[in-house]
Amino acid sequence: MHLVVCAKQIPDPDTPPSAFKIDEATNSVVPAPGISPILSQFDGIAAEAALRIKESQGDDSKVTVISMGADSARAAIKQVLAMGADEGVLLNDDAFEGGDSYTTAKVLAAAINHLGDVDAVFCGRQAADWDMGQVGLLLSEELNWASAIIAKGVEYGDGNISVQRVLTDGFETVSTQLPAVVTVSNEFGEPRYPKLPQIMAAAKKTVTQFGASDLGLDPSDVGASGSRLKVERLYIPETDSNVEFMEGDTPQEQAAALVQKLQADKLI
Amino acid sequence: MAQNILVIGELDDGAASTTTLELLAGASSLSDGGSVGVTLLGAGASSAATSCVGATVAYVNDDSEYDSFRGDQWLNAIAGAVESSSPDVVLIAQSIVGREIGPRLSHRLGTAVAMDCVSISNDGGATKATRPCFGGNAMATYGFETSPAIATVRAKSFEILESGSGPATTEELPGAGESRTAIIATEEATSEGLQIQDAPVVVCGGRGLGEAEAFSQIEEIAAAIGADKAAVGASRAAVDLGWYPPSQQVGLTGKVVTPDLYLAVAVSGASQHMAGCSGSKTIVGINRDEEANIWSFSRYGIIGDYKQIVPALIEELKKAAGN
Amino acid sequence: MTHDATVETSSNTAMTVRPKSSSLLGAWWGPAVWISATGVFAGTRASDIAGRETFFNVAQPWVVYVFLAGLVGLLTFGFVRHASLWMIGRPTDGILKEIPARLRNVGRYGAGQDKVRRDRYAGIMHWCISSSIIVLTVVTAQVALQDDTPLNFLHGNYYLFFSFYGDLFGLIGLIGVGMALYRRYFASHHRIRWDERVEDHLIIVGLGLILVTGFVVESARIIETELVQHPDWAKWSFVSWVLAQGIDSFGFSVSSPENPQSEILALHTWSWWVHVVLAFSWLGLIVFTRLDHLIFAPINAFFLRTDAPGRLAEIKDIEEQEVFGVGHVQDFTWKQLFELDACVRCGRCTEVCPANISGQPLSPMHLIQDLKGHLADVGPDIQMHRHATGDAGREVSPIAMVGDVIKDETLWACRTCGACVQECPVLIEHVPTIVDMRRFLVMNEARLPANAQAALENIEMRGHPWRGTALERTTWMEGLGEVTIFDGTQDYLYWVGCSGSLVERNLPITQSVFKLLRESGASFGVMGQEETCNGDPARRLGNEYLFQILAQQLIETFNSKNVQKVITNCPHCFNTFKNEYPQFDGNFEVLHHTEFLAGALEDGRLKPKYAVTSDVTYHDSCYLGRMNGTYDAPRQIIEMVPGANLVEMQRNLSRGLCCGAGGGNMWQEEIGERRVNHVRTEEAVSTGADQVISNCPFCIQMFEDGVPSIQPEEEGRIKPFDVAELLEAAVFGPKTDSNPTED
Repeated sequence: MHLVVCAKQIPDPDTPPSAFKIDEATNSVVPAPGISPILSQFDGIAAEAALRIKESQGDDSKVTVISMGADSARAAIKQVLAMGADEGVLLNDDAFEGGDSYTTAKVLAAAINHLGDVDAVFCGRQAADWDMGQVGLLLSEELNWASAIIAKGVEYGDGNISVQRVLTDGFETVSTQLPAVVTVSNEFGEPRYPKLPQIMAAAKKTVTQFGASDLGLDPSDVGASGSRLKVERLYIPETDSNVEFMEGDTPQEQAAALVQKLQADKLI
Repeated sequence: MAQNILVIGELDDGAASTTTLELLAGASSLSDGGSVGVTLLGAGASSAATSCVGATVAYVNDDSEYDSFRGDQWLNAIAGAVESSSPDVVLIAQSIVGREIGPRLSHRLGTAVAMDCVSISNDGGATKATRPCFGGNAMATYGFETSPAIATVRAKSFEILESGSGPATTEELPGAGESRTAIIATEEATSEGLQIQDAPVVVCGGRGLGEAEAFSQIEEIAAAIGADKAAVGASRAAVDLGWYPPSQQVGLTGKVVTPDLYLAVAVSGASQHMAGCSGSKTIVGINRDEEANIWSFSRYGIIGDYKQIVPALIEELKKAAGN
Repeated sequence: MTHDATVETSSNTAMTVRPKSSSLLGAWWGPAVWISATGVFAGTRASDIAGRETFFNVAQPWVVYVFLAGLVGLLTFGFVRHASLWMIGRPTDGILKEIPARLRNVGRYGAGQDKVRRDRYAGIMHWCISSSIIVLTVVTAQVALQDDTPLNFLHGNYYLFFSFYGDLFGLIGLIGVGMALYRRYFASHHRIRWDERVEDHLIIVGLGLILVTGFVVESARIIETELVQHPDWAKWSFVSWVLAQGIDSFGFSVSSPENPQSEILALHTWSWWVHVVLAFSWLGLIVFTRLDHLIFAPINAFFLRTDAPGRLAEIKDIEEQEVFGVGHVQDFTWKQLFELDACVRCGRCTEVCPANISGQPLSPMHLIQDLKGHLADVGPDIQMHRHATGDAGREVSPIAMVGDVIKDETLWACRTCGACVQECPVLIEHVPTIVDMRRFLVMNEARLPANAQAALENIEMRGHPWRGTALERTTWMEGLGEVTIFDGTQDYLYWVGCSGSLVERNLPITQSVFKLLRESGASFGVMGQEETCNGDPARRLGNEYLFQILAQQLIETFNSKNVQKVITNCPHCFNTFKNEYPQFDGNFEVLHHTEFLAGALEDGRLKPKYAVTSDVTYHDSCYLGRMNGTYDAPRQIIEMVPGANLVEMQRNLSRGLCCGAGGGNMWQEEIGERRVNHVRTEEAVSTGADQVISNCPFCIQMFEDGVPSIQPEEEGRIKPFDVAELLEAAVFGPKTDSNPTED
């Protein structure tokens, strides 16, 4: 069984708000000094889901991690390799830059087709930078595969993958035939802590790199020139910081003041 | 410039969902005289369509197969509605339906979708969609290179129209076909009583509480405000630590809530959390950290240790309720 | 516990407080030497003809040599058996380096029993027993020499002196045994019951009987040969002389030429046999019981590390290891295995362990005993397997040492505070052994508490353990005017540390230190954004690999910036830079801020002008105190603050109780009855002080968390401050804005 994990390297979402800066001229995030990009947390969880299935299936299964991004994305790939993935693929080409979710899915789909024998793809429920949550589904459309999104549990048996997915007010277990794309949510659980032997094995593994021509993609179909959605403005929202702190020498006085305010505003 | 808009509606116990009505309200103002269509699928769709204020056309099918959402079945039906109404804009709620239909429909129509938008505008015929990103740290406004423009929209982004007429015409969509997905089981979330998204007051506990047991105090605050009014939420940090069930998680990856009063206890106010509650009318913080991010969003605040303040607050709330 | 902390309690009047320097042979053997000298002197004044027949009335004295041969054989057997188990361990580096220091340790801790007396009652008891055993062995050996060699010295004055000190140490031994019996059977001392075994009764009751029968033998001989004949000789054996008169008063028959088989002679014969058989049997217990500490404890003192106690061993060539850390008993060093045999189950480690005090699942004594039992269970099989196959035999043990024998939660409960190591009378080093097993859990098994994992991941990804902080490494600089970034032209690098810059509560501390450094005129700079975790939490949580990467990177950075001297905010950073970076050729002069500030006060570069009228108590952080012996500097600062009145806690200085955060427990959920910081806060509160002063950002955070739980009323709460904050108030006057604890 061949499973693919799609991993994205993103600016650290835990960047302190004061260090989060935007270049409004280019509509891009300015990397915060001293803060390195990281593997999108949901992708780590997706890797965990894939690895658990691999482990339940025995030795002839493998997990390939694919990342589209700059050369620095190798770190994200290595991280998933250290968790136990077998092979890593970096999709790196100037032509891929500046794309949207659609072109990203297109490149990933081309890479998956290039690998050939893939049974299932695992993505995070959304990349924790743009928070769109659509690459997984677009990928399933590109590949014409079934999909199940926002999984909190995934099991495999008899050619079917069953996914417990998170709904607004509960959970629903759906089953679908492979091949399929699954997006995994944080309810699934924390990704594993890599064991040192695997970290060292991962460090020694070579990451295969593909560009547009390797995948048979026309550069004008991908990246900025192929994208259908354009960011026209990126900005930090103003927050109205007019907080009024409750006065009082004791917690009782402060609490009483608050209750009075809330009553006056007819909130309680 | 007039635009034709199609709203992908959802049913809630046989009636059009609140968010569907909100989207219709938004659509009718965006349409600028164009048509507003609404699709409704599942048992009771045709009768629910009559209450869809703001819609000019309804596309319905009463097949109960549609009641459980399966993306491929819905997509086939919706494709029919799109063909018939040739919309410039498609609006879908940011629900389990929108999360799946949005991207898949965009792909089938050769266009793009902006997910989880909080506002949509008609800029002289060009649709602009604005949405939070980078965990709520930033906002992005998108333009579409292709048509139709598709957007999934957060609940409470538009106010429901108080009055108006329902759709003049109703068209029948095909019944549900085959699906690649089988639904094996469903499980209701275990939270009792008031749903957190519906509650006018949400009391939320964060990692700063320090221990799972402290949530009983948060529940006490909610009880003191009123079991019919207040629900309890938790930050993702607290949920990840196992202090409170995931069904009550507020934030980017949990529930997005927009109550009248959001009381955040020992919640630092990380942008990912605020993405789930910044639409609340009034936010009140209780936090020992003078520099906490929560104050940027708060109307009122108490600086101090929740261990002292919460018991006092419960007492005061009970007193107030007694009067 | 024994409340003997007064030994180390400082008073307000004392400027400097040092734990009393540990004495070598002198203090402990002083009485013995003194008595011996007196005896020699007294002996010269007595009759010259005194003497006695050795092996009086014993028909088969050669039997003693049969017993002796048996004992030697048994001891050899026991030693070989033990040694074959130790040998399954890994090599121990540097054990034969620094021999003079090691010999000093043997003198100080082995012969001098320097640690034993940290419990005063036990110290006296143990000295009585051990000195009596040694002296009486010497006494007995002299009898053998007199009898079986051409030497002839047991007569005259020396014989009288010999009689005197033999009896004296017999009596001292009995006092010791009495104290032991009292503690065990009457006072029922709690530690004794933690792991009481049959052998414990055999050892102490046996020793008592040996001493008593010894006196009976001597008395019987005195009745027969001296009481009447040489009463002035008899008095030198003062205990036996009194006992002889007592026995004699019963009117037993004494031998005479007419009546050679008297009752007293029969008593003598019987008691001699009982004495000899008991004595040799008792010595045989060395092989089977904890009495083996008699041999192992002094040897373990020789093996004791000679480097800083705060240093953990590095895993050399970490990338080439088969397994990481210690998950199998044979992966300990043989010294670590040897230590297990030295343990006497005294329970002192467990008594001072902060986890144990708080009802958490760790008892260092039981941990060592469990490992010892496991070694005995599986060691022989591993040894045979090795012999047969030559491989490490990690599959031999049917149970997992880490997980089954030692539970994960036991290992995680350790604060690495070093209290157990500090107290251990036989010099066992529990902390490195625990960390070695953590290393296995983390690096080999990836099995660790979720919060600890999150902290480690955060260090890897973000270079600090404080997940979710909203602060930047430069936030503390706001409002301080110009802050110099270190560029190699300043004397000192002021190392703020992650906790000093990324945790809200610690920002005022960082600012205080900064202002005081500036006021002192020191030439210093900071690293600002370029600071990263120096690896301490990673190392203590068991991720040695991560630690080594971080350490090597930071050493490179320091070297490239020409850093020579470092002042740290945090005792953990201090310990790591000072004691651990030299393992990777990072040699810097490292000062904790309290050391620098105390120096600046002393030479007048800082002048405390404002009174801070307050009763304060001082909490010794483990990594500044126990691990690095810096007890004076912070107290000197407090003494120099006008108006501050220092009230010591019961547990202070080297006995200070950990705040609960050490060893990576800052990032773990505590399991157990209580939280360590609540226990320690209670102790601080009970001094009645208004402020609890410490020197470590973790300790301060733990007190900040603990105080509201111990003192629910906000009124009159004790306030936690760093030494630097206290000094800042004394140098610059009270802060104009609100009280910093109300953050």
